[in-house]
Amino acid sequence: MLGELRREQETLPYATAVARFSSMQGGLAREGRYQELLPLAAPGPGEQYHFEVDLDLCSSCKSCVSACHQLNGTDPGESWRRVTQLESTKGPYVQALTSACHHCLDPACMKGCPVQAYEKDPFTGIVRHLDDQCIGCQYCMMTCPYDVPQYNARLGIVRKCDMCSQRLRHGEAPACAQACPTDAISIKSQSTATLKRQLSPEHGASGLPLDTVDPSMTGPTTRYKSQRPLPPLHEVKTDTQKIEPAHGPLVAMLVLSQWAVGLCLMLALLPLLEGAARPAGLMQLLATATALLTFASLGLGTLHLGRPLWAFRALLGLRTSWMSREVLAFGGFAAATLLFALIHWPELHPWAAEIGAYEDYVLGFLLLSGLGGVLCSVMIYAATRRRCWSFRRTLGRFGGTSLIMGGVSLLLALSAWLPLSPELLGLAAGTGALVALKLLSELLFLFPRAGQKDPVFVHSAALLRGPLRLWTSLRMGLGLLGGGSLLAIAYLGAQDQGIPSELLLFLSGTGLLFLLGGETIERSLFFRSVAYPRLPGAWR
Amino acid sequence: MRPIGLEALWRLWPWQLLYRREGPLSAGLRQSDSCLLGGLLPTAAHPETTTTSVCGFCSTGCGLSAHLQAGHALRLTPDPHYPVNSGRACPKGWEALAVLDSPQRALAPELRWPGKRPQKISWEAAAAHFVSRVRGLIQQHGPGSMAFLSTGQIPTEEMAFLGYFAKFTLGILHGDGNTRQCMASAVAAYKQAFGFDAPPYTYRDLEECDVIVLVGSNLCVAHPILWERVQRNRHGPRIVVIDPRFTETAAQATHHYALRPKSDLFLFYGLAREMIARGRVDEHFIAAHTHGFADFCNFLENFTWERVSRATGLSEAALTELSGILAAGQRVSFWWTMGINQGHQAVRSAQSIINLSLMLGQIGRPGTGPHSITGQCNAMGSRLFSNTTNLLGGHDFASASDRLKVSATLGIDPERIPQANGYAYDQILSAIDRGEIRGLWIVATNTAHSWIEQGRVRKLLAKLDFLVVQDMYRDTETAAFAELLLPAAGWGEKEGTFINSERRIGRVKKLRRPPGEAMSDLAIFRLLAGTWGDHDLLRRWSSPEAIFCDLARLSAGQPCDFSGLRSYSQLEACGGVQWPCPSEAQPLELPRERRLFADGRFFHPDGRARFIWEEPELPPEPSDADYPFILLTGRGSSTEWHTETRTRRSSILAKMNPAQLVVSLAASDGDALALREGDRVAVISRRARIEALAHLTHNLQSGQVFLPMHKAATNLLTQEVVDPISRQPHYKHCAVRIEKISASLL
Repeated sequence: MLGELRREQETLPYATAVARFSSMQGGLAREGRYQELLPLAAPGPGEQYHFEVDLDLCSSCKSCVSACHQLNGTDPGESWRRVTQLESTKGPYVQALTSACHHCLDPACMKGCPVQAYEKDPFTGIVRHLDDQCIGCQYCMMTCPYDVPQYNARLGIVRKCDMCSQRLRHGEAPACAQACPTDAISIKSQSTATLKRQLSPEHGASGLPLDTVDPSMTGPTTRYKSQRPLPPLHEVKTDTQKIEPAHGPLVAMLVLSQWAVGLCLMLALLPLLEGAARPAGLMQLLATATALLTFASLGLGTLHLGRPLWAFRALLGLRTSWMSREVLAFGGFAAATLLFALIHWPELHPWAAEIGAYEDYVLGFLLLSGLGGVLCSVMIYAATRRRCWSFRRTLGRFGGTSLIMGGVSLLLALSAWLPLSPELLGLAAGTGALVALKLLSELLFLFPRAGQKDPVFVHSAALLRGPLRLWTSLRMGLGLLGGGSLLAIAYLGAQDQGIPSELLLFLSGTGLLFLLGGETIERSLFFRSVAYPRLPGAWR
Repeated sequence: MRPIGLEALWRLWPWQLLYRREGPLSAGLRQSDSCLLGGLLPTAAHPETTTTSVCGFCSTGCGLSAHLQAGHALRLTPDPHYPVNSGRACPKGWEALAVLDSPQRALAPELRWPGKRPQKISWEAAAAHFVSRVRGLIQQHGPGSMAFLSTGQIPTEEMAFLGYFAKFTLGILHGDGNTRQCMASAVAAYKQAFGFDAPPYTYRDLEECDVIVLVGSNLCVAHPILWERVQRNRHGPRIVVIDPRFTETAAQATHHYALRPKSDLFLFYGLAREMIARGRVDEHFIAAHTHGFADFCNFLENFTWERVSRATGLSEAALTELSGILAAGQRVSFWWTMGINQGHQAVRSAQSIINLSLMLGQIGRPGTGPHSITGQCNAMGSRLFSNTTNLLGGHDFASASDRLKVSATLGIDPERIPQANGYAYDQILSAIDRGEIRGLWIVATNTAHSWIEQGRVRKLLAKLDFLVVQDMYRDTETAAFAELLLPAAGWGEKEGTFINSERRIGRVKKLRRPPGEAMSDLAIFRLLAGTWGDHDLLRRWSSPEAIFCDLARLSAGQPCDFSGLRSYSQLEACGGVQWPCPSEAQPLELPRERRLFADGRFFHPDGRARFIWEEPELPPEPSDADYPFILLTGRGSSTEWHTETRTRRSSILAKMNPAQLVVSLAASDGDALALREGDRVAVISRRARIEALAHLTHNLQSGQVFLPMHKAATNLLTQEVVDPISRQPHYKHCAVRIEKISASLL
C-alpha cells in the first residue's frame, strides 16, 4: 500500500489540464478595471509618468510588495516596493506608506553612475536601470536618498523598479497597482514643470512622507494624497534604523590609495626635510612602496564590484560621476607610480637615464593626479549629500589619512636609512600632532553638543557609541597607541641623550602598524555609522 | 542621451563591451503576454496552463490562479472570477507557494528520543511504531489514555478521515481542534442563539449596508480582502470600530470607540437598553421570530449610561453618538473577530451582539446581521467534520438518532461511535497533567507556541509518554517535543475542500509535489489505518472525492446540508458553493452569494432565535500595583500568520515584520517609566518574564501594552483562563509589569 501512496504523491493532477485562454485584456486579475489606474494617454512633451498613492485608500495590507516580487519574477526576497508604517508622536495615528522608485526629475542614481547604466526615458520620464551595463559598483545605492536601488548578489548587479515599463507599454498597470486590493496606487501623467513646482518649499504639496528627505535633491515624482489631515512632519515617528555595510574593499581601496598619495606628497616634501640628500636606496624603496600600495588599492577596490571584469567601463560617466573621475585620476596616478618606480630601478632596464631626466615632472604629475584622486574620492561621498559625509568631514578624514600614513611611513623609512635629525623629529612630532587632531575631531563627533539639532549627527554618534562601540574603542585605542609612538619619538629624541636607533625603528614601525589599523577601522566606521534622512517609518 | 541614429552602430559587438543596453541580465526580467491570463508575465516562467485553488491562509477563502508548467505551480495570482476576492489577494496569498520551499521542511519520518539526534526512519517503520505505541497505550491504560489535536489547516476530507480513524477505528475518546483557539466562542454563541453553528452572512453584506460595526477586529491587516469589500460599499457607510487599540482599521474607520479591554458586555447591554429607550426595536420581528425578549428587557434595566460609561471608559457623549449611529442605520451589520471570541465571557459577548441584531431586526436582509469572521482557512470544515466536538456533519455524539444516521450513512457498527463528547483542548491538557492522557497526536497545529500559558503547556508536552507530531516543518516549537515526527505535505501539495467564513465550500488543489518523502495528511492517515488494519475505511474512503461525497451525504437534513453537491467538478463549475445546498437544489443555479435567515426561521425546533445574556464579570486578572498593565495580544501585521511556521519561510513576507519581539506601550506610560523608543525591556506576568524592545505609541491607552501573538514568547505570559461555555482561551487580557533592562542602542 505504501508504494501506491508514494506514487500518488508523485503525480501532478493538473499537468494535462486544458489551457483556457483568457478573454481579458490588460491585466492578470481584474477585468477592465486597470484602465482607471492609468492615465488616458501616454505623457506628451514635457510630461512624465509618476506614481500616485492615495493614503486614504491604503489599508496596510502590503500586497504590493508581494505582487511586485511575483509578477516581476525577481529573486527570493527581492521586491522593489516596500511598505513602512508611520505613527505620530502627538496622538493616535497609523498610516502605511508604500514606496518604490520615485522616478525623480533629477535622478541622483543616474548622475552618480560611472558606467551610464541609468537613463531617464525622454518620453515617459521613467528612470530605467540597464542591467547589462551595470558593473555592480553600488554607488547608486549611496546616491539615491530613498534607498531604491537594491544589490542582487547572485547577479552582481543592482536592480530597481522601472514602473513596470513593459506593462505600461502594453497598456497594463504596474504589478503593484494591479495588486492593490483598494486601488490606492495609480499611474498619473503630469508636466515636469508642475511636478517641479510642487516640490518648492512654498508649495508644500509634495506629500508629507517625502519631505523628510530634502526633495530638492532629486525631485521625486511620487505623489501621496490624503483628505485626512496628516500630522506635521516633526510629529511623525521615524524609526528605521540600521547599521550600514562596512564595504571592506572600499575601505582598503581608500586607505591604501590615500596612503600612496600621502607618500608621494612626502617625497615631494623630502627636499625640504633633508636638504638635497635623497639616498638612492631610500628613493627606490619609497617609489616601489608607492606603486605597490597603489596597485593593491586599485586591485582590492575592484573586488567591491559585483562584476569586476567589466570595470573598464567605469570611465563612461566622466561627465557627471565623481566615481568615473576618481577612476581616471587614480588610473593616471597608478601609471605614474609605475613610471616613478622604474626611474628608481635603473638596473632593471636600459632607458633609466632618459626617463630619469623627467623625474620632477613625473613627481609633479603624481602629486597632481594623486591629490586629484583623493579629492575625487572625497567628492564621491560628498556628492551623496549625506551630511555625515559632508565635503569638510570627508576631506578631513581622507586628507588626514593621507598625511598621517604618508608621514609615518616616511618616518619609518628615514629612521632606517638616515641618522637622527631634528627634521626627522619634526616629522614625528608633526605627524603625531595630526593624529591627535584627527582623534580629537572624531572624539568630539562621538558626543554631539546638547544644541545639536541635526538628527543624523546625533544618530550616527549613537551608532558609534552603541552597537559599534567595540570598534569605536578599538579605533581610538589604536590611534592613541600610534600617535603616542610618534610623540614618544619626538619627546625622547629631543632629550639630551637622544633616542637609540633600535627604539626609533621599533617605535616608528609599531606606530605605522597601529595607525594603519586605526585608519582602516576608522574608514569602516565611516561607512557603517553613516546616518541619513530616509523616508519615515518602520517595518511593522 | 545618445543620438538615436547610432542605434545600429551601438548594436555592433565591440561597442557592446563598452555599452550594452540589453543582454542576458535584462532578459532575466523580460515580460511577454502569457495569453492565458490576459497580462504580461516574466518570459522565463510562462505558464502552460492554469487552474484555481482556494488560499490556505485565512478563512476569507480567496480564489487563486495557479500558473502551471507540467502541472507544477510557478506562481499564484488572484483569481478574477472567484466571488470572494474577484482578482485581489493579500500578500500571504501571493506568497503561498514560497513557504513550501524551505530547508526546514520535514522530508522523512523521524524518531526523536530525548538527548539523541533525530533518527530518520522509513514510513513502514514509522507506521509500525505509531501502531505499536498507540496499541500499547490503549491496551495498558484504556482508550482514554490517547488523544488527538486536529486543526483548521487541512482539507475537510483529511480531517474527517482523521476524526473517523481516531474515534471509530482506534477508539480514542478525546480529540479537539485548534479551532478551539479561534472560533469556539462564536460557535457556541450561534448554537445557543440560532440553534446551529451558522454564520449567516455573505461577504456582499459588507457592501450593502450603511453601518458597519467592527468589534475586536483589525480587518485591514487580519482580513485585507474583506476590507477591500468594505471599500467597495457605495452607500457611504459609517464604519464603527470598537477596539481598545487605535488599529489600522480604526484609522480607516469613520468612528473609533476605544473601550476598556473586555468591557464589551457592558457596552452592548447599554446600547441594547438605549435602543429600547429610543423606541428603535423591531417589535414585529421580535414577536414573530425570537424568544426571551421581555426578560432581556428587565435584565437591561440597570445598564444605565452612567454605569456603562464607568465600565467601558467611554464618555456618555460617545455612547450617545454610537447609539445614534446604530439607531439611524437602515442596514446595520456587526462583525467580530478575536477581540470578542477570546475572553472570559466570550460566548455572552458574542451573544450580546447577536441580541442587538435581533432586537433591531437587523438580520436576514442584505447588509445586516451579526457575523463572526473566522480565522483559519478551514475552521468551519473542522467544526463540522473533524469529529471532535461534533459528530461528523455537525451531529451530536450524545444523540442516539444522530449516531444511527452517521453509522448507517458510513456503513459502520453504531457501537463504534462514542456516546459522549470528548474533552476540549484545555481538558485534554489537564488530563495529561493528571496522568490520565499519556499519548497525544498533534496534526498541523503548533501547540507549544499557540496555546495559552506556554510554561505549563511545554511541561505537559514533555510529560507525555508518546507524542506524534504531523507537520510540514521539522522545526516547529511543538515538533521539538515529538517522539515521532510524520512529514506532511502542505497546502498546495494535496487535494480537498475548505469551507470559508461565509460557508463557502471551495476546492484546494495539488499544485506541487511534496518534497522528499513527505505525504499528504490523507496518505499518512491511510497508511496508519492500513497498518492498524481498518480495511473497510480504506476501501470506503479511498480518495478525497470519495470522502467528500460521503460528507455531503452526511450533511443531508442538517442546516449545513450540501448533499446537492455530488462531485468536485460540479463544485468547481459553481466557483465554490455556500451551504445550504440541499439535494433538491441545482448548485449551478443558486445565486453565488447567499445569506441565511431571510425568512426569519432559525434552527431551533420552534424556529425562533434566543436572546441570551448574563451578568458581566470583571476579567480574572485585573491590573494591580505589582502588575500595573493589561497585556493585549493580537495580530501583528498582514504578513504574519499565527505561529509563523509558514510565513517566516518567505523572505518577502519576513522582511516586512520586525525581526525582534516588539512590545508597544502608551507613550505616557513610557514617559512614566523613563523609557525611550527601542529600549530593551522585560515584560513580566505572574507566569513568566520575557524580553522585548519597547515601542512607544499613542495608539494604545495608558495602562495597556500590546504584544503580537506571532512570537513564541508572548504566550508564556498569558494566563490559562477559558470561557466556561466555549472553553476558548482568554488570550487578550492579563496583568503584566514592564521593567527596563537596558537603554536603546540608538
